[in-house]
Amino acid sequence: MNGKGQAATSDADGHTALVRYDSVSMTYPSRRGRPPLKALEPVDLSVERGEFICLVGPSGCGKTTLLKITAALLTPTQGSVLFKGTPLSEPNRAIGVMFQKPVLLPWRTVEKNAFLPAEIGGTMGPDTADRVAKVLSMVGLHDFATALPDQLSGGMQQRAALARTLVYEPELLLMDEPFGALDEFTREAMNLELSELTSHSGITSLFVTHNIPEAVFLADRVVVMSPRPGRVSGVVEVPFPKPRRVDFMRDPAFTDLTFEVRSILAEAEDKSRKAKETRP
Amino acid sequence: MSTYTVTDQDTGAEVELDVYTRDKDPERWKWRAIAIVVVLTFLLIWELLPRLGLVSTIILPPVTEVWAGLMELLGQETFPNHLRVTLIEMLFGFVIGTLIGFASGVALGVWESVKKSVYPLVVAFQSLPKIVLAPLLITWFGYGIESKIAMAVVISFFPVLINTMVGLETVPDEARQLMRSLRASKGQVFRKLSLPHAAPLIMAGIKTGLTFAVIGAIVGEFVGSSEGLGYLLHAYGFQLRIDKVFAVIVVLSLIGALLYFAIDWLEKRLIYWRSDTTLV
Repeated sequence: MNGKGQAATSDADGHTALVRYDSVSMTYPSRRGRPPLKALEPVDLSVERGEFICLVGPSGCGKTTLLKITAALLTPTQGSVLFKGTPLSEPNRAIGVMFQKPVLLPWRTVEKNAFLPAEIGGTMGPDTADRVAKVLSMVGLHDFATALPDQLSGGMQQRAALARTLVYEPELLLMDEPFGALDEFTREAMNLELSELTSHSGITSLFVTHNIPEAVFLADRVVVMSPRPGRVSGVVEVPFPKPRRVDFMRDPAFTDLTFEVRSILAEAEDKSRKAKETRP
Repeated sequence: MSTYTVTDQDTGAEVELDVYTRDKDPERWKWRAIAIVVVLTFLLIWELLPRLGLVSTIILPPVTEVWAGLMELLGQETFPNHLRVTLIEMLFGFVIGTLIGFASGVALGVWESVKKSVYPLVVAFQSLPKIVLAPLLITWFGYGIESKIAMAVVISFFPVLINTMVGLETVPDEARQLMRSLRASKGQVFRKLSLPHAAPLIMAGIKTGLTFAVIGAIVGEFVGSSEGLGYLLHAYGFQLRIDKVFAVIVVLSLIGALLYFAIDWLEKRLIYWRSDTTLV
């Protein structure tokens, strides 16, 4: 940890952000003779409680790396992540993770999959079943509690994964392109529901995607990242009330914002190409 | 006949349904009938070849004589003992081999250090045609059932070992990360993720192990024994009682089939989910 990281637990107003990245950078060590891979240049960012942040950027820009660092599945080479003011060193149950794949255990029913976190955390109690039932109906799976995952469609599988994450009421929800494998219609429906769910529960969300309209639709702030090695090349605020509805996409401001994100991306890409060309 | 056709054509939708169901059934029965005819033809040729003097009855006794030989064999006073001995050898060899294979597969699949240090030896052992061990095992364990059990163990543990190891090693990364994000202990990862994930593969290994145990017991009896079905097979062969040889073969294939169906039945109950699923 560096000295800079410890000084910056809170900002000028003295209040603590839920997550704070202090010059977090990541270089993957060299492997099988290949040179070390610089995935992330120092990132500074803070995420406020209840905020919905979308990370967008081209493939390999380190957005997944940043998400995994936040989940403490990876340790940054430099800098630190402060969660509620304390440095994250190992996975935290107050942080829920959703992956690109649903990662459901195929031998467990939807309900039993949702029980998994409580089972592992040893927090199975008399109210666990109620909580699971409540969360399953929140994501529209109450009729499928006893179905096995392979009996569900892709969208329903991700709903089940979302339910599993929500059951233990995390304060921070990390999502790595969770709807990337779904068809366009299902994805749109899932985004609507996600906006509804997260704004009602007040949960803080960090959502990785490479779909610009999706990012603008969901986010309070869209964090745009540059091609590898990734760094934050711009932040676009989306000052519209949540939950977002379909007609938000018809708003001219929506188009303007997606365009803004797009131009930041294009600029960053341009810069990185020029940087590569000038390199000897 | 023609009246039926007319009424069918009057109601459009029902015709198709009728055609569909009527079409499916006769196809199925047709192929079943053909399969039975093939078997009967095979038996008929077997019967006729020696009867017509095309093949010596000493080399190939007609099916009817094999049947008579089988009945005679089943009626023999000593037969139950031979059957019992071979069954004990197979089952003990199978159970012990499976347990050893599973335990060592777990050790190799869970601990990297064990795999690195022991795997070369395991591979070297596997490349050995294990039948060559039969004379040695008889020298070590004697003419009784112990040497045959040892032979069955030696030959049947390997598929269980390999499948257990591979099954435990092929747990997808994302599922491991999910468990880590939930702060699962090593024991929990093993019990709730790795072992059920490996179960279908382990079961396949056990099935192969069962077939191998049957082979092991019989081969052991061939090399040196005074009782058992393998001994009978050997003895009748020397006596040129080919009808009895075939009768013992029939008994052995029945045992093999019964054991296989038993384990297949067990597998269908234990592995109730689709194991080729891409969820995890």
